[in-house]
Amino acid sequence: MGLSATGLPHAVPTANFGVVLRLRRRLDRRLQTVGQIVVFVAQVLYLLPLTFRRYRRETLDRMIDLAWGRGSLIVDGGVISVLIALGIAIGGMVAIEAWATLNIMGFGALTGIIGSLANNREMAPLVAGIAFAAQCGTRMTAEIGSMRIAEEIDAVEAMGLRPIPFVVGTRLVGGLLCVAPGYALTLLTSFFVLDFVVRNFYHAAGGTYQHYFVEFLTPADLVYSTLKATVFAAAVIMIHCYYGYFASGGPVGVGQASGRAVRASLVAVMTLDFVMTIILWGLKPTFLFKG
Amino acid sequence: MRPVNAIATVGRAARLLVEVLRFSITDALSGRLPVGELVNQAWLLYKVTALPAVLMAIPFGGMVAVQISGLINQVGANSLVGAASGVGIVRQGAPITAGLLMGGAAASAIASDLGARAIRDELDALRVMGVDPVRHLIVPRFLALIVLAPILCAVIIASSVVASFLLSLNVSDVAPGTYWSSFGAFAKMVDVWFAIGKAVVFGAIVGIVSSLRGMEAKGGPRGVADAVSASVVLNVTGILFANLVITQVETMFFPMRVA
Repeated sequence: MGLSATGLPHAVPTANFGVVLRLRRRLDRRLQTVGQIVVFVAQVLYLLPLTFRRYRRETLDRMIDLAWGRGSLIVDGGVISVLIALGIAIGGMVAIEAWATLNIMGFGALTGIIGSLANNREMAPLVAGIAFAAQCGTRMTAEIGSMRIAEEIDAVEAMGLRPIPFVVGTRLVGGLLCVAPGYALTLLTSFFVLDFVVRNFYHAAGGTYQHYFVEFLTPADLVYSTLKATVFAAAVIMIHCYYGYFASGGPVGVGQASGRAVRASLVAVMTLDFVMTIILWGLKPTFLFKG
Repeated sequence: MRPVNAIATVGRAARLLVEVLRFSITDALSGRLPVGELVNQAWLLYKVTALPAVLMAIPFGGMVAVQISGLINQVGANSLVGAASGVGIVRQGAPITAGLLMGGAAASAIASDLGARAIRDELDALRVMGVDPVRHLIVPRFLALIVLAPILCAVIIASSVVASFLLSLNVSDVAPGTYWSSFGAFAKMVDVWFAIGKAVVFGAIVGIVSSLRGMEAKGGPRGVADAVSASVVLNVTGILFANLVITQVETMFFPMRVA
């Protein structure tokens, strides 16, 4: 152990000091990522008025592109066709399960309650979030990510356009404009399929089914469930744009960014669903049986 | 011609499936299966899906418990909360969640890897060297997904049943014994087998779709990204429709009974 200029021995770190340093570096990286996300989201939201004022045409273009895609149904298609397809799948699934469970107790026609409550409150918003993540989200990560690695985002900036409102803001607004009509389609498709399956395949009494279905389908619930779908779509679009905007590492990098974005948005949709269920209906939701 | 193209894609997927199955069986019998690569891939895919699986399962279980117990408390039958959680989680929630994670996270890992190889012409180079990419790249990934699916499904069932149990215990005042006895009365072993079977089918869909999309990627970085997007959306739609079909088959041949 040598002596330093002051005559005191050098401070020699213990063998475990490396662990501390590594942990600190890892924590630093985490915090940096959190900061990056916060700044990104804040910028997108803060610059939304600019998006509305300056990039109205681009926003409409994005909306049409997100809704219909290149005109095919699933691959390269828009979110609307996926929303309808998932509406059919979810309506059928709820009908089969609810009928099978309730009918053993002789309450088959009460499927109407499950149809209006489970579909409207949970299932339809969840599949809407998933459809947005799978169709719009991955497309956005792909587009923005390949713009980033082809240095097109820097080019956008060089042309005097603000990249965040022009690239991300327009997509956020365009996506949210598709939510209300698209979500209404999902909900209606799932209700229609449910009704069709229960009445025509299971030969339930139509009047009883309708009675319970309508009784538990309140306007407030419809508004809340649309609100849920809107929040999911906004979260999904933000997450996917974030991962695309900061993509790096060539072609594989964009693909991997897409994967990370899908994972993050699936978790976000589920967690937001739980949180919003509790916020909107409380920990102990109450239902009024009017007879 | 769009419909013709769509049918051609289905045909190529079917041919890929047949090839993958043939190589899996013959190589397994002759002991030439690339086990090391298979384990590597399975571990890689497990790493990208396990944590999100738990993070998705817990809110799902909680959501089921909250909504169902609210409805059931109203008619004074809160012993049925366990039953509803059993049906909701084991029969539908867990396999769909596992499928979505495989179709989202695992699929993008597979499609971006194979897609990058495709646009760099590595797959053609392999073919020139007499190495079949289906046999050496796709079979291990496909089998890795098949191995992963039941594990993921089990992780999700366990964590979301625990979440729903704790929530109905503490929030909805259901007695623990009541919860488990009604859970057991409705959820049968058959349901667990079907859940695992569903997850395996979803894994197979994900394996074939993402490998096909990845192998057929073209046109630079954008091509890889498009392959990933296409495989994710195809997987999600395919999984939900496969789920519908399997659910119908299950209720037809194993109708629900109360024990």
